[in-house]
Amino acid sequence: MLKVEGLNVYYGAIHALHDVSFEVKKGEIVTLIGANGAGKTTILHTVSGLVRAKSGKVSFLDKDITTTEAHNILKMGLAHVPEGRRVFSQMSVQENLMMGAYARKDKAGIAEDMEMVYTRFPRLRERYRQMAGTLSGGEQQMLATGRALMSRPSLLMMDEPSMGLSPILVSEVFEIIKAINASGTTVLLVEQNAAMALSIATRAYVLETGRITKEGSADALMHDDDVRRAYLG
Amino acid sequence: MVKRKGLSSLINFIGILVLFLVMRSAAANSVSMNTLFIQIGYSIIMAASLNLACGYLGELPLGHAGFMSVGAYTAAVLTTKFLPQTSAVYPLALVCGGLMAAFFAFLIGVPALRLKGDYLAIVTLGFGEIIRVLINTVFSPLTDGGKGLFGIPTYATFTDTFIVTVLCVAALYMIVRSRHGRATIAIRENDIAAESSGVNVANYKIRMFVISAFFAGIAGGIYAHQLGVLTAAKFDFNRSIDYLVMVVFGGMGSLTGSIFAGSALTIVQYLMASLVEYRQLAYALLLIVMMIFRPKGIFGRWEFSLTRLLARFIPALRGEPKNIDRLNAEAVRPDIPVYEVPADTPVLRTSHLGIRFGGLQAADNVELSLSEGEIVGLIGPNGAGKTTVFNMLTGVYQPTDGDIRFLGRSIVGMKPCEIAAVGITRTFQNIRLFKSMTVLENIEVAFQTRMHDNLADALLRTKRFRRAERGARQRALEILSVFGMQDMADQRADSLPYGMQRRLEICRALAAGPKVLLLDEPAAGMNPTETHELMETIRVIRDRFGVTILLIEHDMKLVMGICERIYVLNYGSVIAEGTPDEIRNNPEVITAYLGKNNPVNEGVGGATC
Amino acid sequence: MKPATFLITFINGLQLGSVYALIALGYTMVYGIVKLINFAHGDILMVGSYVVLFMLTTVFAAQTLLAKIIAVAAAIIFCVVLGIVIDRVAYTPLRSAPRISALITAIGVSLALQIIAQLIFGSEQIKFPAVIINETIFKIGKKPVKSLPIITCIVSVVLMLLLNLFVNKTKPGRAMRAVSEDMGAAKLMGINVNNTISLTFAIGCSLAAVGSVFYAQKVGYVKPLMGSLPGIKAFIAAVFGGIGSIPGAVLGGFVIGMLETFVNYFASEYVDAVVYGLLIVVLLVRPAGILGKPMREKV
Repeated sequence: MLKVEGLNVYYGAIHALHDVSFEVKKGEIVTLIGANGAGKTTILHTVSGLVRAKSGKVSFLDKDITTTEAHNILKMGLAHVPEGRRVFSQMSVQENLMMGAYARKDKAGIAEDMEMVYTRFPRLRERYRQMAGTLSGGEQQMLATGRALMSRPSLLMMDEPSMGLSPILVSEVFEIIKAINASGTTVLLVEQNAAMALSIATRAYVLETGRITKEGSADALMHDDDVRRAYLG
Repeated sequence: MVKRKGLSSLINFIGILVLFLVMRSAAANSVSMNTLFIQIGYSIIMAASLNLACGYLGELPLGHAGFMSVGAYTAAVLTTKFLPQTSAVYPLALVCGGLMAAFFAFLIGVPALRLKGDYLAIVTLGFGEIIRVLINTVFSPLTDGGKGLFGIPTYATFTDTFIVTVLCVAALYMIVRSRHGRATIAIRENDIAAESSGVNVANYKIRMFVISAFFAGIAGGIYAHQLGVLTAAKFDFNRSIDYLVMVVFGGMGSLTGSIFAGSALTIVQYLMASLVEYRQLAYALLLIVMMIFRPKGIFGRWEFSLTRLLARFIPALRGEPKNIDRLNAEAVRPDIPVYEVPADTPVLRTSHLGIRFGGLQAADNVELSLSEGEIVGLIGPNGAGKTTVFNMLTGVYQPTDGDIRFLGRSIVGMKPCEIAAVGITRTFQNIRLFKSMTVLENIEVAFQTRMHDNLADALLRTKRFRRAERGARQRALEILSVFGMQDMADQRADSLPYGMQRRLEICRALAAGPKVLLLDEPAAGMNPTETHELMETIRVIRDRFGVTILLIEHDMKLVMGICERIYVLNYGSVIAEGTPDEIRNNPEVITAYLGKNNPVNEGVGGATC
Repeated sequence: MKPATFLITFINGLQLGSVYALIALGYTMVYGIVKLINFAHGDILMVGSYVVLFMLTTVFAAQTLLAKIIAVAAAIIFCVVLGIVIDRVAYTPLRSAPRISALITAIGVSLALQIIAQLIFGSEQIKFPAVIINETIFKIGKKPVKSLPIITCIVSVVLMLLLNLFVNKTKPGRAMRAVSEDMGAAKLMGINVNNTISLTFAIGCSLAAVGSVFYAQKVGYVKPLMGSLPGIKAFIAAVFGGIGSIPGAVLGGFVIGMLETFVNYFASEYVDAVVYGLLIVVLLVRPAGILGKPMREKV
């Protein structure tokens, strides 16, 4: 469904990604793990069009999207929950969800999905008129996820959804990701918390200083000695 | 080393002398050359002084011509109406002009520099406009108002202009290359980190702004005594922009650039004197094109060095790398404060501490107490107010309730730089280094409150200045070597890998010689191996630097592994306090934060976030 | 001051305030979305009035009502296009550059517009034709109340209400708010950020174009530097009200306009000094402006 081939990305003189290739198949949860600064977020930014690749190719549903602009990529069914949630703090919960459906025109479908998000996250329904900035970290993560679901994506990319959350909420967030996947959305997950990510993923890629160094099923990587030493502690 | 230093000064002196002789012979036979050279002189002073505020301090003053006008009128009124008619009073008049400009800068700067960014631009622009109104109205008995001040003695000659220009630029250079200059650049790079490292940001901003205006005043004096006539209208916004263009064109943060652009653009102005409109259009387009394609200006932040240039051709001039060279010379290290902890008193203690942002109670009734040498953890869900507590402890936010006592003494109401001086320093969740400065300079900035050489020492390069600089360098290298980072001393801070940047922040926080060190998520973004090393490092720091540590962290392995006591914060209040074991088994903490199936309890996997 | 004089001055203050408010809105909206003080905004005002002048003197032989309407429409269209072009050419490449670079660029654009106008039309001031009917409507005592100030106020207030509705209730308005809060996140919502920013410039410039007609007719002439002063005053108005806040810009515009008109009545040579003085006082007491939200940098 998503295919990345030979991606090279530079920030000024810094070579951030070296020949990165990977793919995500329909129905999977694929996770990218690696240290901070390895290039995980850069990959997601490149896929969703926020950063331009120097060379390489990104295709989504067999269409080349390497040079497609961010706002058009979303319309093709690829949503991105950014690192640090980035909810619109000066807007209400409801308005944030409406922003998620910005690119859509089917009013009935939007209302339906709004209902679906509220059912999935009852806490958001309770606070639908509250300013998003006043929500707790966990609630903001739910809002950011719900907002992304409002575009009715076929592939959902999530960047560090557990960051800054208490251990209790971390487990909850991963349950939510599993549930979203079970209802038919493919997921590409970037995580620091490798243990948790591997526990719910189908397959995984390990990223080190801008290169993919290992790939395989989540199970296999979970038992890989190098991975255990470096990322599972 | 002394020899080499002396040699370098000699080379520069000879260089300037040669330049002087060449220019004088050109000026001697031509009135227009003479005029041009004087114009170049004051333009260079204007550009270089504006560069101090703009390139080094990072503000954008848009009323530099206003300060020039103050200097021009002050000096001219003195020489025309009050002082004896002899050119001997000219230097005095220039200095008075500078001082008056500095005084006005102080009046404007005190309110305006409290504001961030663009507001200063607008206030100085407003000042530039007001001052013209004032010259023509309130001050008109002295300035002769709108009809202009005539009959100013034309004292300005090529020789004295040349000398004054060299002195002004040299003074600016000495200021920039000193701990005061470092503090100024640190403010430009990250004002919050600068303040928390002990730099009195407000004070330095004012100081540099005032110095910048002082030199603009001097330039104004030269201008007045060249032209012989003054009208306020000459010092309009366009003139301020002319000088801004010079700074931008030459390079913000390069005095070489200001000298070059000050000369080059003055010559262009001179040649295009009859085509004012086209010149202005060219200026405007130059500004735009420059910003888009080469925002750094021609020279960026590079400085020309005659010694370095000559050394290319004359191998004998090549010295050893200066750091090693200087280590053997006499040095005065920055102070390491000695703290006396009164018996039975916690090093740091808060009582009823609370803060309210608008309607939001971000922290409420927080009671923390740190004993000497402890490592204490502060944990809690995102948004629980942990960083807010740090911000109150370091003076970034002022608490609305309660008290903070450090060594028994209240520190509420102190500014962050004062708190750093008293003995509490910190690191930041989102790394705040002085990015374009070197690793070494990052640490040296934090010696700010521990060094004693003053601005005059820096200007005159006194023995005290040189000793203090050497001492700072030595101490900085020592601190780096504790972390195994001495080889990176001359790298730019932002070129370091992520983990090293976090370490450098810790080094900087230690450099101020604190008693209490606050670490905000030191393990964020580290993998388990790095986190493990960090735990070791934190213990070493405590033992070696004798600090008490309070840390915020989400990595439970780190917190449970090294903290002797832990506070749990939820919704701005402390919900539990105790040893790691007590916290791990506290039912309230489990429901609010840790969760039942927590790896910390079971010892499997790792909750790294 | 007699009551009649007071009332007339008050109406004049409202008139000037409306113009300032119209211009201030452009500053505040652009600042809200790209955090840039668009120094060239005041010069858009100047451009707008030159376009009207050009249409009514060079293009049309007679100043009929239709000609006037077309002239104003042309000014709006020209300013909108100019605003968008300026943004795309000069500001878009600097979106991720330091703020100071963009600010300097804006100063450059401002100067360029002034000088280009000077090269085309000369630096002398030219009489501005009457575009809006300015008849005496009624009298207070012996003082006539003219229609220009009244029309200025009504048109401005209607435009401001429309703008408020647009920003808060429509989809593009929501997109503007989203972009001003978080550009990256807005992109991920499928918002075309560059178009949204262009839309902001377009709205700001069209308001300035409308303001230009009112302003030029009030002062009675056009000249290349005419935009700087009202530009700066309007900017002060925006800062006073709280930059980034739309109601703030309107409030600030009226306060500054009123203050200026009254000071002008008593001591005209001190007008500018008083306005700048007010700015400094406001920044001292309440840096975020009257209706602005205090910005707290996250540490």
